Amino acid sequence: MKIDKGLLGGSTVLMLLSLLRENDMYGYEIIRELEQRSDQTFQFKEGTLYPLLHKLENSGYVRSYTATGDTGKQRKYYKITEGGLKQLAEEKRMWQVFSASVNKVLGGEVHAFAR
Amino acid sequence: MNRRKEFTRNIVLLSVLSYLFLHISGLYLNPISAYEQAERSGHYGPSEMKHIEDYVSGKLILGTYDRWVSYTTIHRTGFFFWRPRGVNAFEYDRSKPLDYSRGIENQFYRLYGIVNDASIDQVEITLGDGTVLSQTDLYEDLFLFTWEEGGYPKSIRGYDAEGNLVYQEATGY
Amino acid sequence: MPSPGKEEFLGKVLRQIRFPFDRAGIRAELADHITERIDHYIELGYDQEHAEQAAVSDMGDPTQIGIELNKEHSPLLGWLWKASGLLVSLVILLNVLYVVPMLTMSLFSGHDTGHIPESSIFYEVEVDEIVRLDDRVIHFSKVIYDRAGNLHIFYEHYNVLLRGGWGVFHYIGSIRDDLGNTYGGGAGSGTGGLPRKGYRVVTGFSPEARILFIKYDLYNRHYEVKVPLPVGDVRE
Repeated sequence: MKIDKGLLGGSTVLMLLSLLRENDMYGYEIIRELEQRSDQTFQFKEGTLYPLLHKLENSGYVRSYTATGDTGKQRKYYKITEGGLKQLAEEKRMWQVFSASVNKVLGGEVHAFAR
Repeated sequence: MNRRKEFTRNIVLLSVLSYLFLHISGLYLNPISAYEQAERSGHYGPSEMKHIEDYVSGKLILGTYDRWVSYTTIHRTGFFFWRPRGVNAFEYDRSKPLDYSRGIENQFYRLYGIVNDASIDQVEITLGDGTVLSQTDLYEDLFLFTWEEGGYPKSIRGYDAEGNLVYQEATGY
Repeated sequence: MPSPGKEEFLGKVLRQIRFPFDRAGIRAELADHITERIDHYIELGYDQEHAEQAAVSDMGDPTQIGIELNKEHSPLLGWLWKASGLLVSLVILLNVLYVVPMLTMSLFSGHDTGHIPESSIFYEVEVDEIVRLDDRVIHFSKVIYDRAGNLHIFYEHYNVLLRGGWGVFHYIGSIRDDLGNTYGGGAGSGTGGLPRKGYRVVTGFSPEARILFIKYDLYNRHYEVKVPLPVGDVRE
């Protein structure tokens, strides 16, 4: 099932930062992880990842460096920063508030007009 | 570090290192500061500046401090820096209508001094080879002659506004 | 063999990047991604040409990606950043060229800064007096009188604000003794570095002198250093 990109936009940063908190990764790795972990739910145009990564770097949430991977290839890796960890915690909190609110609207609780 | 942070860091670094460089190198961005330091490091002054002029190496400043008259040279270096060079001073005799001293820097002979008699409007010197140099617009009460050939002057004269000779003496040079 | 699909894609992206110095990095990052994606399709059984088509298609619209990337690579910040980096290198270079030699430089004008063999020393006095002229601090450390009648005066000086360009401190004052003798300038030398060391030797100094006076009185600045001297044969 493909998810509407609108929803994806809001939580992409959250997912990116979360992945990078676990490990430093390079672009292609991040795409692969997103696809695998979401069981192929999240599939979007891969090139659009890079403007986002560069934006995160400009905001100071991640920092990039060149490193040699297992195969001996030099690539640009991304690492989460202190500021990034703080932002991640904040995004997680906002996501939890958001999803809790959506759940409430969907009928988690009884409300006045559901008569 | 991202580019914005690096840029900010560079600006800070630039300010600190530039200040450090100027302070420790003894170079100055403006000639007046170099002049003040030239005097201070020579343990002289602070003078009242009465005249400043450019010459091939930089600037020359004439001034008075207490009972001394001085000229100080500042050299231009590295395009926009100024370096203090030398302070030349002499204690002047107030009882004489004018008093003077000499200096030399590379190819430049100099004679500088002070006019104590206010009626003197024009100072003239005759060099060893007969050349006559004259200054009519005095720098307040100071005068300066600079020349390249002819040796030191044999005599010096002061004239009033009408051209009458007020004072003259043989320099002894 | 060059891959037109990939090259065309990269070309379209880079056309949107205004700051020239960032183009190579962006190109490399996207090219690596596409290459790895191509490998993925080849593993799935695609041939080279179709793998490339699929990989490039997966990337998305190059112009759109380029526009978004360009927003993150502001040429203004880029040029400012580059200029600032260059200026920092320049100033570091200036510091190395001017400041380092200044702190370590030595100059000589005849005499070595005072190695006097023990056997020729008649007496040695620790002076340890500090005087000040404008921003210069002068520390007279010791005097040594040798058997040939020379008095060696050792001192150090530095600028209290650590300001450079204050040069050698040559004239330390008139040198007299308590017997009424005045001694001529004598030869001197100095070193650069911090603090600068100074040295003066005066010949024909009287062995009967009990006090050495170093008196500076020039342009309204004064100091006087009085050094009591041992009299009599102080060395075995």
